Amino acid sequence: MIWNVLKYALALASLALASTASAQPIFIQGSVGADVRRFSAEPEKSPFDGTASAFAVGAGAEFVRHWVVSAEMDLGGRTTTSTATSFVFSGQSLTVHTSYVAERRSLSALAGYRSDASRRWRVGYYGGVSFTNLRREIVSDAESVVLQAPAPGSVYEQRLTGAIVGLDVAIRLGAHLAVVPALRAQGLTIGTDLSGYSVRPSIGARLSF
Amino acid sequence: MRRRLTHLAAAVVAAFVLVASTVAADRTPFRNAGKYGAMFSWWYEALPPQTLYPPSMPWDARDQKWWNGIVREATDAGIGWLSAACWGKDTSADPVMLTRLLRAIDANGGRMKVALFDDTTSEVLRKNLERHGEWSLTPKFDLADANEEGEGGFRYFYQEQWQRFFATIPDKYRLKINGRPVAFMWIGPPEWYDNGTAFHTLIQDLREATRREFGTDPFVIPEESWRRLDPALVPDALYDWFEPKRNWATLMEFGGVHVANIVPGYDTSRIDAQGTVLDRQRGDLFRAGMDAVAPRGDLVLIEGFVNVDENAHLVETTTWGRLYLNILRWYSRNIP
Repeated sequence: MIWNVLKYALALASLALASTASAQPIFIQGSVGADVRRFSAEPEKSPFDGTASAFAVGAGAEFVRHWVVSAEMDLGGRTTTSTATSFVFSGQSLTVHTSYVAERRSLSALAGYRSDASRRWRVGYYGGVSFTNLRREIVSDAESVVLQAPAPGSVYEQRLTGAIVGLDVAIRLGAHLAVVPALRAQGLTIGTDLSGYSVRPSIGARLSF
Repeated sequence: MRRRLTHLAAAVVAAFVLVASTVAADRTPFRNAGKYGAMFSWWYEALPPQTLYPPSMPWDARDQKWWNGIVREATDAGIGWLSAACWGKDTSADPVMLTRLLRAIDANGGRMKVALFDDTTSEVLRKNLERHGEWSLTPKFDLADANEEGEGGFRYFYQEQWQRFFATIPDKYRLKINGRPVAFMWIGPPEWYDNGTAFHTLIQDLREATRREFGTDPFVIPEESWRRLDPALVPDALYDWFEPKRNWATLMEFGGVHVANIVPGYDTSRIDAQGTVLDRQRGDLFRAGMDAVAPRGDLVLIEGFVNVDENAHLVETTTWGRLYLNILRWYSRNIP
């Protein structure tokens, strides 16, 4: 419900403001960083927890002084956790090996506020909606060991819609160029069973026109 | 030019929000509960003498606290549904006794679902008790004899079992696949049943009777032995009940649905000196089996949550504490 309200509010705000836009900068940006993913899987930690490299590109506009809308595409790399379980069945010692792989891709629509453009340091605060594809893969020889059946592996792709928040600091290097340390955070909740988050510190460059 | 670009950027953001959110819209769920479920029986007045690993809670199903405790532990373990092992009318596992389970579900948040598990030993036993005065598996049950002219009768399956289950378990408590309530059927060995090729007709008649009386079409999942008995059977799904001398976990695909069966351990050595033992190995046997069946299973039927009779239980005990609840919780969270 809250996402519906949020997304329509953001879309309407973008459309309304498009019609009143003044001659403020368009910008494009790119960044590299880390994607720290954690899931609540007590009593032990989740095998899908991990820290991967991340790469993001985005573009947007400052439609009125201080106020920004943007779209970002953010690709988080793969994390892999491996387990081995040894046991005895019918007098035979056996071991099953299992790998849990996770990968995230997000497209986000953001709106936010940036501090005064006249200063060299410009802080931005953002909120918006993120559409995430979370791909989890389980590769195990357990089916062949336990069931004596082929083990094709299992892939789960979840499309998640949720809130995203962000913070960045643009440090001006020239008239059009800034270096931008940034942070993005979003929830990764799959149904009612697996909930988690992704926090992404990064550093990048922003080009304004 | 810059103004046009700004217009364009804002419009693109707006379109992206609306289009992407439509694409990501929720889909109708395949199940109305988590994939993990467990066998549940309720004939206990005390712990049976063959139990090797005593549960932590007092073991008396005449007390509502027992039911509440079971559902609480099942919920803690991430179990989404319990498969009620029904033995039919006037037995110690009569489905009409499940009202206590409903109260326990309500007392624990109301989310747990219930599936019918028709223990197909019971139809043979009930028929023989009524016809021959003996709680015995002989003579066999004649599946072709729906009208009770010989050694059969539709009534033993429907009026004494399914009807009592559906009359007792209201719609909101039923485990459903694609909106249809799930009914498992246990094994169909030729030693118990005659005219096995009539089984598919029996299933059709059971579904039709349930549709007529309760307005719902059961999603029937027989054990795979029924299909060997009746090759004309085309069920909604199949499962393969474990055989402790051969395996402890199985996974069967039929009709696009993967149904798993798994046991954490098994020990009947106190009943029979030659009894089968599946050593639990501190949970590693269960973990290895779950690694094999959890990723692709659409339904994972675990034998059994309270099976202290065959030492196949998962509940908290004074021996292993909450080990098996925690193992199951891990799978239910990470491979939902």
